[in-house]
Formats: sequence, C-alpha cells, structure tokens
Amino acid sequence: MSRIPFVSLARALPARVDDWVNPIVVKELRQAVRGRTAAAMLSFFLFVETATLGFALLRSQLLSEASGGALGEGTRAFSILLGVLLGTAFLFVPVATWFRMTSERNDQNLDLLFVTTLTPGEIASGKLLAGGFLTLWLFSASLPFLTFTYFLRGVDFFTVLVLLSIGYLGVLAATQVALLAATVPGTKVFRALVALLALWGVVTIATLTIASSIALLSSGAMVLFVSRDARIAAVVMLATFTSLFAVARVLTTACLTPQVANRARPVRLTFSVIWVLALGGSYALALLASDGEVFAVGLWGTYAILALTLLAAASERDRLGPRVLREVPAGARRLLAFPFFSGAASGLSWSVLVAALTTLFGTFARAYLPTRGTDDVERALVAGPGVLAYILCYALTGRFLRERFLGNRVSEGHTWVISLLLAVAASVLPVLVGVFGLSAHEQPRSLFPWLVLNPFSVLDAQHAPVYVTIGATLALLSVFPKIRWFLAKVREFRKPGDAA
Amino acid sequence: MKVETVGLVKEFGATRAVNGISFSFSSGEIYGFVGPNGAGKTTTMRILATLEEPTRGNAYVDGVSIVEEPEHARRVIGYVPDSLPSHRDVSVHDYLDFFARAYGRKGEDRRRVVSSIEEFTNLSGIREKMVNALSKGMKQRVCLARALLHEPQVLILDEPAAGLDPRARIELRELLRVLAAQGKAILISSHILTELAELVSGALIVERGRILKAGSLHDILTGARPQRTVSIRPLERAEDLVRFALEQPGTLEARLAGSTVPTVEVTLEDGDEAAAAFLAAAVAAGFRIAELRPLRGSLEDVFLEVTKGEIA
Repeated sequence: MSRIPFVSLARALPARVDDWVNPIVVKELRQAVRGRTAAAMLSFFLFVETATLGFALLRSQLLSEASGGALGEGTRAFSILLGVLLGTAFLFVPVATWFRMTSERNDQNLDLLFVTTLTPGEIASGKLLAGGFLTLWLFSASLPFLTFTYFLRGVDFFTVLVLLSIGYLGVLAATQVALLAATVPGTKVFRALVALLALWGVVTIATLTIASSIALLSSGAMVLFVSRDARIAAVVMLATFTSLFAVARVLTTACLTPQVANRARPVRLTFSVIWVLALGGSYALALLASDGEVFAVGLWGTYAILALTLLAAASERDRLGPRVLREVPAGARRLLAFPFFSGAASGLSWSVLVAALTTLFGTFARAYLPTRGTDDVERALVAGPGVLAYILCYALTGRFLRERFLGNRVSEGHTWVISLLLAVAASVLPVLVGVFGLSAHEQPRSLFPWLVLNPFSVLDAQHAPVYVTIGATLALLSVFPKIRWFLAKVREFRKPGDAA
Repeated sequence: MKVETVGLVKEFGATRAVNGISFSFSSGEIYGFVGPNGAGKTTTMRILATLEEPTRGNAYVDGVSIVEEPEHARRVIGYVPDSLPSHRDVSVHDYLDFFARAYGRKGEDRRRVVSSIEEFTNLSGIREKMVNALSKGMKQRVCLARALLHEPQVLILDEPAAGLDPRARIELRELLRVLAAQGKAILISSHILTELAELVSGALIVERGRILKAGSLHDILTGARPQRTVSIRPLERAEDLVRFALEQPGTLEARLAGSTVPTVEVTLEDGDEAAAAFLAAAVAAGFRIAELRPLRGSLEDVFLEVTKGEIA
C-alpha cells in the first residue's frame, strides 16, 4: 500500500519536470534533435574519439610489449581525447547558439516572445541552458572514452573531474559570449564586427581553457589545494571569469529587453556589485602581495569600463515612458534610484558618480599600500580621471551634435558613433595638420601641442597634469550647457501622478 | 470586452507615426484598419499589443490601461504581426506547444488547448510538418493558432491576408467570422479592401498617422456621398426610362448601363423619400420594373476619395 503514493509521484514527476523546464530549452533541444547539424557533428565526434582511443590502445600495446610497461599512456590518450572534446564543443556549441539566435532574432520573432509571459531574462537563460545541455550531451558521449583512459594509467580520477568541470565552464562562457554577440542590436556591418569580436573572445576562452587543462594535467589538480599561489591564482581566475560571465549575461538580457522597459537597471546594479568586488578585491590582493601594481590594474580596469559606460549613457534615450516611471520609488529613495534607471541623464550620473568614488577610494587607500607599485597607483589616479574627462566631453558633444544637426538621420542609440568619430578626429587631425600642413621649420619639436585633444595624451607622464587640466576644462565646458537639461531630468524622474 | 484608444501619439525622433488616434471596438465586432503604407497602422497595432509605448495618449482594454498595466493586456490580447514564422527544424505541433508553454500553459491543460486549436484552425493534419516548409497560407494559419493559444478575448491582426491565395483568404475570413461569433473583439488591417468590406462591421481609415474616417461600415460607405445612386432594371424601354428619369424633380443624373441586360443608373438626391417618389412615378408612368437596388460606394472608392497616398 505504501508504494502507491511513491509510484504515482514517480509517474507524475516527468510531467512536473516538463512543466518546470524553461520553454526555450525545450524548443532548442527539440530543434537540435530534429536538425541535421547536431547529429552530423556527434557522428563525426564519435568517429574521431573512437579512432583516437583505438590508436592509443594500439600504441599502449606496442609499448607494453617493447618495454614491459606504458606508464603515462593514459595521460597522453586523455589529453588527446579531451582536446578533441573541447575542440568540438568550442567549435559547435557557441557557433550553433549564435546561429540559432541570429536567425530567430528578427524583431518580429522576439516581439512574439514579449507578448507571452516569458521575460527577457528567461529567454537569455533558456538559450544559455540549451547550450549547456548540448555541451553536456557531448561530454556524456565522450565519457566512456575518457573513463577508459583511466585503465591505461597515468591519470587520476580527481584531475579528470576538475578538467571536465573547467572545460564545461569554458564552453558555457564561450556560449554566453556568442549569445551576447547574437543579441546586440545595430546595423548589419556593426553586428558583423561584433560577431568577429565574439569569435576572438571564443578563441581566447578556448585557448585559456585548453592551456590551463594541459597545465593541470601535467601537475595534477591537487596542486590547487597544495600551493598558496596556485590557490590565489585559481580564486582570481574564478572571480574574473564569474564577473565577465555576469556582465555578458546581464548585457544579453538588456539587449533582449524592449527599449520601453527599464533595461539599464539590472546592468548598472551588476556593474556596481562587480565594481565593489573588483576594486576591493584588487586592493586586498595588493595588500596580500605587498605590491600596489595589482591595485593599479584594478583602477585602470574600472576607468576603462567607465569610459565605455559614458559613451553608452550618451546614447541612451532622453525621455522615459510611463512603464519605466511607474517603477520610480517615492521620497528620498527617488534620488538614490536615479543613477540606476534607464535614460541618458541617469547613465551619465552613474558613470560620473562611480568614477568620483573610485578616485576617492583610491586616494584614501593609497596611503595604506606598501611602497612597491605606489607610482603605478598614483599614475592611474591622475590619468584615469583625465581620460574620463575627455570621454565625457566627447560623449556630451556627440549628443549635442546629434540633437542639433543630425536628429532625423542618426538615431539616439547611435550617438556613441558620433562621439567616437569626434574623439578620433580630434586626436588624429591636429597631428596630421602638424605633420603635413606645416613646413619643417614651423613644426614644434615636441608633439605636446598636437595631442591636447587626445584622451590618451594623459598617459604621457611628463605632461599629464597639463593634459588632465585641459581634459577637465573641456569636460566642464561640455557639462555647463547641460546642467539645466540634467536638473529637468531629475525633476521629471518621478512616478506619474506624484506631485513635484 | 471593449478596446479603446484615446488620442494615441507615437513619435520616432522627429517623425510622428501616429497622431492622435482615437477609436474603439467591442466583443463580437470585426473592426477594419485601413490606410496606405506608412500610415501608422502597424505602430498603432503594436501599441495595442504592448510592444510599443505611446509618446502620448492611452489605450484601454475593458477600462484597464495597457500602458500602465501591459501584463493585463497581454493576457487578453492575441497579436498576429505582419510576418510569418521563420523558425527552423520545428514542427507545427512543437511550435504551438512552445508558445503554449511561453504563455504559461501547463500539463494536461497545455495539451488540450494545443490540440483543440490545431483542430479549430485545421492544422491537425499537418501538425508534424516543419513550419518553415509550409505554404504562406498554412503559415498564416499557424500564426493565428499561435495567437489563440492563451484564449484571448481581443485579436489584433496586422495584414493577415497579405500574399495569400484566394482559397486561403476565404478560409481565413471564415475563421475570423467564427471567432467574432464566439465573442472576440477583432481588429484587422488589410490592403484587400473588397474582402475587408465583406468582413468588418466598422472601419477606420488613417493616413499620416491621422484618422480620416471612422465608424460603422454603413456610415462610411454611405456617408461619403451626399446623393444616392440606384440601379433599375426595366423589362423593356430602358432608353425611355432614362429620359423619364431626367425629367423628374430630385434626379441629379441618369444613364444607361449594363451591356447584356439593359439597366438604368439613376442618381437621386439623398434620402429614402426621393427614391420612393421616383419609383412610384415610374410605375405610374407605365414602366415595368423588374429590379431596383441601391448602388453603394465601395470601401475602395471611399479609400481613394479620402486618402492622398502621403506617408507620415
């Protein structure tokens, strides 16, 4: 009698799981099963794995007969089989995910998903999970081969487990990069450039994964638990990997979210968390390693990302619709929420605020750092804000030019292109005029005057204070006419119906 | 269920795609949405489907704002865009099953609803066929089936008959009639005005984002002309009837028409009185009238009359 509820539960479980699974995953896996690509790839993969293992067995037999033993033959066979597995997975899963997403990502198809109850986050997760399942499928197909290498000796079970986990995470990260590339909106040319960039990203992840696998295979995965340096390196790599993965994931969701929604909020919240962890982490590592250079790297990374967020913020929309405004909190929290909402003014304020807090923290924290590497920190604290001042100036000027002269021809979302062109033109043209426009005796001996509009001129340590002053002046000149606009945006930022 | 838009405005940069559109339609009604390309039809429909946000104005489904409560609108609105499904390696059944899952349908309820909608839209026989291998007409039927999966009370169809052959168009028309009879409120845009006129009870003609004409089909078709034209088929003496008609007070124009069966088209001052008086006078004068029927202006005539072919 007691078996009946268990039996009915066991019968109901598949249906429950079927209902619980993300619909995108179900669709993607069904498509993969029905399509020819996955089957062809698997057949080819199994053929190569079988041939490799057969060759390894033959070699092992020959060596065994010749020398009476073949220690390490398992390691050799495992590394080849793992290489084939990772090579196939890196080649197939991200490309298949990118292809599927790109072919389905015409506006109408995505629109159809938005009229359902699926959220953009579920769509992004579903596509990634489907990639994860395809990878798992490949890994499970290779498991019999990999297990067999254990009997050839030279490879321990724990290392196999660690290497497979690293490989799996690597393929998942590459799939996420491919997914982001497939969802970025823009013209065909721009999306092709993004796809090339993503390809470079996938190749880099694949190279890093395979290289770290080979290193761990030769040393054994236990090294991660024995050596302190290896532990720190593993934690740093894992943290960097997790941060980049989170950024790619949140950007993918933002790209999939309709413009009318508050799509900047999750992005800025994620960036804020990563900013705190990266800056705090790099400072802690600098103290641990007694080397300020690690903190300088953290500062430069932060300033580089802020330069990109400034350009992106200038391209955000000016007006917020009722769907975004209805989420604005009341009272004092309204102003706290302002930098985290969609909109150009919010985006610019978030970037400037984070840049100011980074510089403040860096200036305060520098005092407690060891002497080694403090020069790097000091240079980052001067040059970093200097670059940002220039970028802020170009971002706002680009926005001004678009609004005033190109409103009908260039969309709000492409403001960053104008800003970037402006920065490139201002950096290159004076140098060209200096070199080609003036006769030899008219040309100054130093390049200094020709680089005053170049954001990266602040990297010149000798003239950095002058360049930073010029950058700050340009930033102030571009900010000043926008103050009224900014204050108006802050005033408008309230729930519909709330009194000012 | 009533769908109502109030002063909808949608701007894309400096372009105003929709400029103060207000109209309403209710359960059991099929409402036509007519206008040249670029008139703002698709944008208005996308606003109603919660895919766009109006710059100004609002739209309501049963009094609930779709701008402020888009989630509510999505539950009651089924939307068929003007594009066909392009998913690869997916069968009709799997495609519908996927969307049913995406609408939150679970377990037995999902299987039941997919099966009944396949049957209703006559897709049961091709449920295992790949979507991208279907004909346009079949794909359009799949689109309609997809929009019905969450059993919406309102249907918004953007150019559903575009590119369909006559048979597929007739089948689609019949399906829509059944849906309207089931109590659904349907908004449909189409460029095939003759067919639209046979289907809709009301219509809206827009150009450059503005409403040019709106109301019941009868009002639109008759309201466009200040006079009434009737076609009369006498058993004999058609030419005499033309001369007689021209002598009558209230007759604006009369002419011989019809090549095989002679008929006379008489344009009278508007109103039933003029038509009744003319008929009585003709019979009294000895004309034997076999048939008299009013000639209505077609939706195409009205469309050509009120639009100028301008784009917003």
